[in-house]
Order: sequence, then C-alpha cells, then structure tokens
Amino acid sequence: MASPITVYRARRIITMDPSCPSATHVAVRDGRILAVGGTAETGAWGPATTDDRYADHVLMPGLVEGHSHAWEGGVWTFAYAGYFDRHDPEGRRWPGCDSIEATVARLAEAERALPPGETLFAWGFDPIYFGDARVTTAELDRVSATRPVVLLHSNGHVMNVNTPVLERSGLIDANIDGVLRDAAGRATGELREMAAKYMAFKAVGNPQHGIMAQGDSLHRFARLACRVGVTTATDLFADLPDPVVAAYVAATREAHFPLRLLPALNAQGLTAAEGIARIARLRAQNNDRLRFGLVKLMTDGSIQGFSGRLKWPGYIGGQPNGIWNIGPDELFETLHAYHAAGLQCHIHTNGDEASEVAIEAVEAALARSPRWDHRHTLQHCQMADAAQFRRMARLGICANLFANHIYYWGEEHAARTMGPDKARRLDACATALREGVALAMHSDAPVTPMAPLFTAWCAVNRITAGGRVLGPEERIPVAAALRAITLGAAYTLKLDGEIGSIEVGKRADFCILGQDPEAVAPEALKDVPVKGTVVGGIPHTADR
Amino acid sequence: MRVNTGDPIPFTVVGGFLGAGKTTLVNALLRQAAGLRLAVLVNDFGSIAIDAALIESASGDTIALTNGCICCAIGDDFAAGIEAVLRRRPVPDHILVEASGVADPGAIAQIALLDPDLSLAGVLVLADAEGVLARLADPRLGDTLRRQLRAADLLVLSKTDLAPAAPVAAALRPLAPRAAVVEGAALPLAVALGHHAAGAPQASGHGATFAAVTLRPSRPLAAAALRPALEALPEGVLRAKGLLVVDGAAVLVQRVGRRLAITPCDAALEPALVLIGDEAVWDGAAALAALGLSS
Ligand SMILES: [Zn+2]
Repeated sequence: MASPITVYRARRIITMDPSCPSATHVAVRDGRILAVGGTAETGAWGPATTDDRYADHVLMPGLVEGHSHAWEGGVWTFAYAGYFDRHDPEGRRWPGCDSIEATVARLAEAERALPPGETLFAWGFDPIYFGDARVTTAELDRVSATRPVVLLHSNGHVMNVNTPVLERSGLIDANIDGVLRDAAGRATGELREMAAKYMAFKAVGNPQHGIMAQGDSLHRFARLACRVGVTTATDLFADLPDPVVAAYVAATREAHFPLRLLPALNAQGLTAAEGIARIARLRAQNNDRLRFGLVKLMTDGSIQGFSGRLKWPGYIGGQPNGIWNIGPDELFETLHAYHAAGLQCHIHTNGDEASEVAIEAVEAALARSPRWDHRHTLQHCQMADAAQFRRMARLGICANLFANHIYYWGEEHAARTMGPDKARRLDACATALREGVALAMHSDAPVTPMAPLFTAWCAVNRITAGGRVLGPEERIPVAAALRAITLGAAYTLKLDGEIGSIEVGKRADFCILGQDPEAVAPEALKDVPVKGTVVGGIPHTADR
Repeated sequence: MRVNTGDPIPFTVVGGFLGAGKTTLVNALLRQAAGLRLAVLVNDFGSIAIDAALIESASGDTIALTNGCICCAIGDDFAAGIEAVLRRRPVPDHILVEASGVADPGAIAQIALLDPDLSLAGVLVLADAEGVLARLADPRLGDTLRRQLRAADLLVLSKTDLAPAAPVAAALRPLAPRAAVVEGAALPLAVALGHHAAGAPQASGHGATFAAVTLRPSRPLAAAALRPALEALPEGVLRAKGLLVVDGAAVLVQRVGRRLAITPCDAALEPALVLIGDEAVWDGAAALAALGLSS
C-alpha cells in the first residue's frame, strides 16, 4: 500500500518552477513533493489528508544558505558583543552594543551570570563602528579585575583582554608588535597576530575547541536555521575531526532534525591525496540530511581587515596588499588534484587579485583535465569586475556573493578600503547575472546573521547601515534575489535537482512566510515574517 | 606561564616558498637527529615522506620515529599544535616548525620569543637560487617573499647546482638584513638547529664546508666588551653558542645570523663558546682571542 498523502493548502506557493511559478496546493508523500498546483493536481493521486495550517501563509522552497558555518550554533556559548541587534538560536533578541559603554555593560551582565573561576569570553565585537575609540584594559577591568575577560573581535584576528589575562600570560611585559601599547608604553590589552593570541589562550585556555563536537551546537544551528526559513545550509570550512563527524552524523539521523547540512572539508590541513581519500570515507556516512563531499580552499583574507589581495590600485589608504593563505602556485596544484578527482571546490576569494588567481587556477585545471559541469564556486568574490565575471561564466565557475557586506560594511568600504568608486561594484549581483554567472548569495554566519531574506534584501536594495544606496546599478529584482537564495544556491551545491524549487519529485522542503515577498515593497523584503519550515515533509515551527 | 620545568626548549622555524627545499632539509635533519628528540611540526605530512624503516608508530596526526623524533601534522592551527607538543612526555629536546609556503616565519618565531617554555634557536628561510629572483619580481608573490626574507636569521640558498649563488645572494642580502647567507641547503644539524655534538660538523656535498671551534675563557669577561665582539663576528660564523661567566654571572650566549641573545642562566657547565660556520670560524676565533677566549 502506498504511503499516505498530505496536501498543504496555502495562500500562495512560490515554486521557482517556470512551468508553474505560482500554486495554491502541494501534495507530499514520503517526504517528497508528489504534486503541485491546485486541487486538480493534488487530487489526482487519490485520497489525501488536507492540512490547512498554512492556509493563511505563503510557501517558498526551503531557503538554501550556501555559505555559513555551523559555528553559528556554537558561538552563542559566549556573550554577544556585536554592534547590531542579533537573535540567538532560541530566538532571544540581543540588542547591539552600539558604544563601548554598552559593550562593557553587556560583559558585566554576562560576568555576573558566570560561576567563579571561569574565564568570560565574548564575541562579535567590531570597533570599526566606533571611529578611533578603542577598548582597553581600563574598560575590561571594570567588567572584572580578577576574572580573566577575553573579547573576541568579529574579524577573528584580533582580541581584547583585561589585566588578569595580560598578567597570567606574561604579555603585560612583552615587547612585540602584536601587543598594542599606548603612548605611555602600557599594554592596552588589544592583541593581534598569532603569537600574542597564543600566549593569551595558553594562559586561560581556548574555549572554542571542542564546542562543535558537543551535541547541542548543531541543534542550535538548526534551530536558528528554522527561524530564518533555511532548510539546507553549508558548514563551509571544517576540519571535521572524528568527534565532530560523529556529532553531525548523530544529529542528522534524528527523525526531526530540521536541516540538511553540507560540511566542506578544509583542504589546507592535509594533502590533496589524503583529502580525497578522507572525503570518500566521509561520504559513506552521508544521509538525506548530511552530505559530505564539498572542498573548501582559502586564498586571501578579508577586505575590511586589509588582508584581502587586491589588484592595482590597491587600498585607498595606501595599506600594503593583503595576505595569501595558500600561495597561487599551491592553489593551482591543490585545486587541480581535487578537480581531477571529480570533487567540487568552494574557493574563498575576497579581493579581485585573489579572484583572478582562482579563475586562472580553474582554467588551468580544466586545460589539464577537461571536465564538464564542475561548478567550482568562488565564495565572497566581493570585488570581481565585469571581465572576471565574463571569464567565470565561460569557464562554468559559479559566484556566491557576500551581499550582506553591502549593509554591514558598505560605508567602511566606500570610506576606508576600496574608495567610493570601487565600492559601487562590491558584490556586483547585477553584473554577475548580466554576464551569465550562476549566482548565489550568503551571510557567512556567524560573520553576519544568517537570514536569506535579509541577504536578498541587501542585493535588491543595496542600502548600507548608514542609509545610502551603494552602487544602485548593481541592484537586482526581487524575483532574481529570491531565486539566488533558493535554486541559485542549490545549483552551487549541485543539489538543484533535489531541492531549491517546489517541483514534483523534489524533497518537500518549504519555507513558511507570513507575507508574500513578491507583493511587499522591495524595501520591506527583510521584514517578511518567517513562521517556520518543512523539511522532508515534517513541519517545524520557528522559535520566537 | 610555563607548562614545563627545566630549560626552555629550543625552537626553530623553517620558512620559504613551495619548492625552496624546506621538506628536503627537514627530512635530512630527521635522519641526522639520532639521540636528539626532535619534534617536527608540519602543516601536513604531504611531502615529508619519512622512510618506512624509520617509522616506529603512526597514530592520527603524529608519527613516532625509531630514533626518538616525532612528526606532527597540525593543520593551520600552530598555536594548538605547539601547546600539544609542549605537554608531551618525554619533553622534546628541540621543536622545529615547517611553515607553509606563504606563511611569515617571523610571526611564528614570535611565539618562541614570548613563551618561556621555548627559546628561539633561529629562523631559517630557504630560497631556491634558480627561481627566487623571478618570484621576487612577481607582484602577486614578491611582497610575501620579502616578508619571509626579512625574518631570516639564516638565509639558505638551495639548488645552487642549478644556478650561480653569488648574484642571487647579492640581490637577497639587502632584503634579509639580519641574516647570514648560506649557499647550499645540505645543512648539518649543528648549523641548522645549533645542536653541537663533540667534534666538527660534517662537511657537506654542494656549497659550503662547515667547521666548528670551541673556545674557552682564560680570564674574566665583561659584557661591555663581549657584546660588540660577538656582533662583529664575520657573516660566515653562522652560529655562536655557549655558556660564559660575564661580569661575574653565568649567561647563555646564542647568536644565529645577526640575532644575538645574552640571557642569565645557571652555571652548571664549564664555560665555553662554540662557533659554527664556514672557514670564517677561524677568523672569528682569532678576533675573540683579544677577550681571552681561545681554543
Ligand atoms: Zn566563511
């Protein structure tokens, strides 16, 4: 006997299927889409249970986050000290720390809740929004003069510590560049570079280790995904030690785990031969909600950290060019090895020089080992110009652009990194589409909050946190943006035959909305309420 | 803060671009290191290719060698890798980090300058005589290479059988202001790591012939005279190392390239200073004779 059929009726169903772009009913059997359209289509399969819970809602394909990190579910172990309001996985809204005073108040509140003896860690701090003002030991010692306090910056490279950390680590007397000092020569508590951070973590421990192997980290990530309508997300840079793999396998095997997860192996901690063998072993553990197989390569750093690799004329302030995480020659070799093994590479590039090197590496790999439909994807690819996008289109390279950057750092790029003219083409979605590049867009959570409707809003409006429209010519229509956060992202993961649209035969993954994103004003796209998701036919309600 | 008691562990960083010969050098040092518990930290085991006959056991990220050395793959988390090695028992005699092809070895070396469990025994930067000048002229690579050269205490020119070393050395010297230049990458342990067993270091194949001379004081030394004399040693004295009594107190003297450290220590040994390098060690010895140091 065939399994039962559930028919969901909705105010409107946006399908992303050009042959039936808009529907009212979708029938689900065995976790897959059996029929789409109206009652004529869903009724054709015989008796079904009608489920009216979404009768007043709008359904979209489950949203696909093509570049996030499951660390978003682990990082909330620490106190949030970011500039912008943010929701934790349980749905609690944490107001942004919009001044150094507010940051101190947030840390003090977290400090009071912490058992004696434990180090206080906070994350997400970004002083770029405070002009020349800096946090020093004076502020963090007010949080606690006895307990170690560590404030991690959002860029991942800098941190502030209080006097107990400086004393325990010996950094208070250390005379190296990575320990910032004030005019009087006193250590300010701001630590940069590997060595200074090494000593601080040696003294107080690095609490970031081991968190992703804990069972609830991935559940928290999935809970957060549900709140923003995401049914498939990547964990796009993972060393994947055995305990983490075990945690991922266990969580995704649970019947009600509400997320499909695609971890990408960090290819820079092992040889390509080892990496290829490792992925083959990992793939044996794949299930319908866990897909190993992606490869991640990191070329340069970040633009706002001045570590992105830029072509001439470089940074507007004359800063030296950025750094390579993998040398261009090594990138050519490594990429070719994974390419020849039939794997798909996701290549982090921020600056235009890094994008160019990555494009050349793919071109060289294709010349050595021709291969169709590789879908290697440039991740971030923030400063690519039209010629680079044309070349990407010709070579079959996809772009997953970091549209959230326009809002969060657009003003800084115009004023301090790229200059006002080059900043216009930051995350140039319109050019990518015009030149025929397969397009996705992302949050890079936890760098910025995961919320694809917000990401789409960024690409549609290009409004910065300062309120200006940055590069109006690069705005794209709502429909194109909605496609990029569903089918477009699925395409970059080679899952477009399985998810990304509401079509017969695909997984029954839906995003449940309170309003029609194609009916609201484009400026209101980010405010369309997400009520929850359906993953493999199982409804999940968003935590509020 | 310290996790070990006893003397800090000497720490060496080997840097240089892909193809500069880092791995060849590290392999050679592992083979020579009998009796020295050398811990080698690498990004990945990729090119290390340790002789199967040398491997005692392999587990996960660590390979133990029959001669007491270990090799650890630490991915790109150097800090966690170094901490794990510090907590190993028995404690390693020497830690050698092979930096990635684009890493700044100076940034890694700073760890040893900060951590009281470690003492910096030098930054070796390898450059292949055949290709380094072309890399230097490449705008995508030149700045990364310059950063590496700036950090060098010993600048080791490899592939000197494929290209004349002298013009390359002349071009690189101003970019590596603290470094002594060594032509030929077949370095004995004494030169590469500063571990000097009794007897002169073995002469090697291509390039320089190495020598060592041990000097002992015949009269009390004054810091005011010792430091400038050590700073003035000829470039061919690649290392100077030993325990001396200066102004009545025991000190450890370590010079590699132009990096000189004179640090207080416990006087457990008879005072002596070893000069390691090419034939210039004899000129160096002659210069130090004026302070009463003689072989
Ligand atoms: Zn990322």
